[in-house]
Amino acid sequence: MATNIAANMAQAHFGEVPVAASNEDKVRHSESDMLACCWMGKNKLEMKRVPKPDITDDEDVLLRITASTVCGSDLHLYHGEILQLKENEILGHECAGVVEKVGKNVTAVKPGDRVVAAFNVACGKCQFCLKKQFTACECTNNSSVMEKLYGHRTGGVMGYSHFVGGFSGTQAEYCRVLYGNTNLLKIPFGLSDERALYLSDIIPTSYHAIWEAGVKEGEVVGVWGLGPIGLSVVQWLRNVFKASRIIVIDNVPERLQLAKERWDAEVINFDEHSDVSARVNELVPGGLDRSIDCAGFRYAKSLVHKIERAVGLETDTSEVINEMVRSTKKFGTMALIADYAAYTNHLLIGGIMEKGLRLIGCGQAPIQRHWEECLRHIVEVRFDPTAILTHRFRLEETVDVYKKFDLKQAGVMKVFLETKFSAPAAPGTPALTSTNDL
Amino acid sequence: MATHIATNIAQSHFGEVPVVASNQDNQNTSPTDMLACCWMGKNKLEMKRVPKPEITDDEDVILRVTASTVCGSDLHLVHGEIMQLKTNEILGHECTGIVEKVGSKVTAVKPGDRVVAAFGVACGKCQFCLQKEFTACDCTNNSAVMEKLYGHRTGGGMGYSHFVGGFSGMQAEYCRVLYGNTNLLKIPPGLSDEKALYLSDVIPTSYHAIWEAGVREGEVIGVWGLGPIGLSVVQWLRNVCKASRIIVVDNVPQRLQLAKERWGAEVINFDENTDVAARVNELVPNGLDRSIDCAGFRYAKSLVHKIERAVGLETDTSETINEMVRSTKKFGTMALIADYAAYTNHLLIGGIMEKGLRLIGCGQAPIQRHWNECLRHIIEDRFDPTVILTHRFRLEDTVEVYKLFDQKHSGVMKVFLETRFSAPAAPGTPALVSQQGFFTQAGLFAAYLAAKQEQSFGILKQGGGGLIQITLHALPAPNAVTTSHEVMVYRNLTHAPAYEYFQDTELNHTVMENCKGGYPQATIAIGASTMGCLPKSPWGWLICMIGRFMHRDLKPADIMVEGDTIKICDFGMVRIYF
Repeated sequence: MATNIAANMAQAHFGEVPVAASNEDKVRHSESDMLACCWMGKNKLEMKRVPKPDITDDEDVLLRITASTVCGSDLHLYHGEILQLKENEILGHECAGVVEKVGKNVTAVKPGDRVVAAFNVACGKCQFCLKKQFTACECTNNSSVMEKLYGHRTGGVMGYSHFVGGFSGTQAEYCRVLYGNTNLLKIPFGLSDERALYLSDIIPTSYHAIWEAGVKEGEVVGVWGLGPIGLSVVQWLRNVFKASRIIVIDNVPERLQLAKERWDAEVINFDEHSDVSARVNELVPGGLDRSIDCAGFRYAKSLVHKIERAVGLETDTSEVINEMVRSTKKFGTMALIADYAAYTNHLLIGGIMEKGLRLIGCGQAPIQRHWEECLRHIVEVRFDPTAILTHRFRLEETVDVYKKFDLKQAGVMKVFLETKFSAPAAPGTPALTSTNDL
Repeated sequence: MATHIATNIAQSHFGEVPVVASNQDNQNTSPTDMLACCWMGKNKLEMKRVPKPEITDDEDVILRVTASTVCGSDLHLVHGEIMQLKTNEILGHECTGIVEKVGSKVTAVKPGDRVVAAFGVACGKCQFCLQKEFTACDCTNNSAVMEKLYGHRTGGGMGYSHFVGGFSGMQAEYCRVLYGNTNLLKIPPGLSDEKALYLSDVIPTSYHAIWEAGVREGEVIGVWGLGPIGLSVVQWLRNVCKASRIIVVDNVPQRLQLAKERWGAEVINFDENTDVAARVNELVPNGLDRSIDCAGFRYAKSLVHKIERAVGLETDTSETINEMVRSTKKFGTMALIADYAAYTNHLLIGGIMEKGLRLIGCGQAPIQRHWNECLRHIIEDRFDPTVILTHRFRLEDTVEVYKLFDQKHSGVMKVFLETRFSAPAAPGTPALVSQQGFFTQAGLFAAYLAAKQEQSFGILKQGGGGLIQITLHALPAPNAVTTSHEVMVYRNLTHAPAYEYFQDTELNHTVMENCKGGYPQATIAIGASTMGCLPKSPWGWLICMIGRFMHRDLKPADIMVEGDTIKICDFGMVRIYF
């Protein structure tokens, strides 16, 4: 908590960077309030009734939310590991909804349209957005703490602390989407919310990882971490990018099983093969063409890294990256789509330099760059986003969902959170259950 | 020394990886010997007469060396920071020469040809060589230690330890070049050795960095480190790549000056602008398009990293990379051409991931991929390799040259080492330096060698650093064992204040550097960086995270500071783990 207080004080001291995007919703003080999931402290979330957002900037869109979910990256917030969190702020960065109101400069959508919202807030007009590097947008993140830490500010993100702009999130009944002409994708008639929802983040994000890694047909690719991102990466690699072999690393048996049975991956359970790179090199002499890290900074395995993270000697473990370094062929590529936050120790930098490895930081994925292509693959039935959709819950149970999702209990992979505005469950997708029944 | 013993033992334990290339020269025991610079231990080089190499494999070429030099990366060997070094082995990986003999399968050159040799040993036939990734050659490096550390073995290198194959080097009068059909470039008539020599490494290496970084015309590029590689990168950027702006970062005034005056670089002296990234972002709002690291693993600036390297908590500093992370624009590229060896701490991995940065490990540069192109630029006068050539010495003086080069004395940048086979200095290049007086500036080692001859006791030299000899009456075991053990640890450290330990019948003598002792602020830095995990332990405990050794008795008085060099002493209680 001390880090967070310090970070908030630092921001106050440096002063916020002036940006065009307003991160405070202009709230209405009528009886219009709504249910939302709010961060109240480390490991503390509460469902609260809060004011409903309203149009604040001219390009805003007010959405009535019909689908939301919880992300692996939300767990970093839950554990208090992201800088500049503030109490009472709404979490969530993925949703589908119906347009309720639009600001006067909105042209791309109108009230009544069904849309998916991107998790990132991009203005669509700056030098980075014009190059389609939407998550590098200059105009939507006022965090001077990030500017000091990284040298520059990335773009803003919904529901993800003031480190990325401090916008209210989407685990709620309504949300305000900024720059609606850029950050909304219309859902084609006939496509269910269940199939559209994950276009807000994990589907284009997993696609982005492979795009950044430069995967070519016929290659041998390794995937570390079989959360929703990793599993989606495996599906893309098999169904669309036509990798010849896919090696996957994780320790949750049902996730390894799914990757193997559904997409013919070769599995490595790191609880059984503790020397992961030795096992990879047995399977693939000479090493992988490319490796993709979908695990990330929090997942320390050894005692050294667990202790160092616990006492703040490092914030990020380097274990996955080091495994990838030893597993990837000379002059191969490693892509980090998993989140990394700040500092790591014991990174095998010598291996990266001497083997000629390309370590690609993917950045937060520029959803708007890829989502139309992803939508096309979904509509043409090459990619099924619901392969990882395991449960459907009501928004009211979001706090319990976080807990189950964090502990990987009951086979929970990616969930569908329904609101009072949602359509009934689409055929072939999980029926509504309660966390009490798990 | 412990690391080398350990890595050599490890290699024996794992077994050498069988590769086709022979790394032992097939030497005959005729009277044909030659002068060569040999590694004799940490900070110990000797010019020795050794057997001349002979054709061993069918594609070998024996060169009569006409030019050689010393590389920034050779300094890592001198300081004992590269694994699998063995005593008596010849250093040096850059040379030109005349073909004297060829093996039965050599077709590309014949006796009498003037050639440059590549520093990398590539077979030319394996899957990597066929893709022109010559330094990834599968066939020329038998190091099982590297395979364990990195997962795979890179290609071999000349004169650079058994970590990269254990081939004899070229700071010598003759050398054996393997796979002569791949690893030699013919020097066009009319091109001097001075202009050709650096095609063996520095020129194609600097070119490779820019090629890997993907530099495009009109971009804004940052270059960290203005050694021969960095300065050559700047020249390529200005003369050939047509970068619009070149920002350079270093602290040696004459190198910054050269980059500015010759190639219009914008300079940042990091002794003046300690927050380098802030300064870059002042000069280039939004940050650099691309950054190139030509500095590397040894050049720690802050106390934290100096101490961590000194006690083995990390082998490589992350400071340069972190500065580049903060200085490079979102979705920009950072290329590492500088050497990195193993592990680093405090790397800003979050900045790399969140800003979408591409961190390109360039690998050891595949010289053979680029050297024809580089040669073309040299012949067509777009690139002048002799800009960085500052001094010419005789091969006989190589050991002193290393000292000068390491200390950046007398404006030494890149040198030309002549042998008895060399042509005279080409017009416009430095004349031979031969006065002995030139080398007295080398300092400590010269004083030490002189003092050793005197066999003097007590203080050998006062002031200007100097040495102190501590004489103790012989202690009964296990104390005597402890003392020699302690000195063995010192010899393994990169900064050791102890140079020599010897016994006669009654007395133990330890020759140490005369440093001022005790620096209270160092304890705070150690506390901040390493002691946080053991808040209740006596702060003298220090655990080396790569498991090599535990000091167990660290106190302020054991931390010596001279200028901004940190040295750790008193390893009497050390535990070593291999």
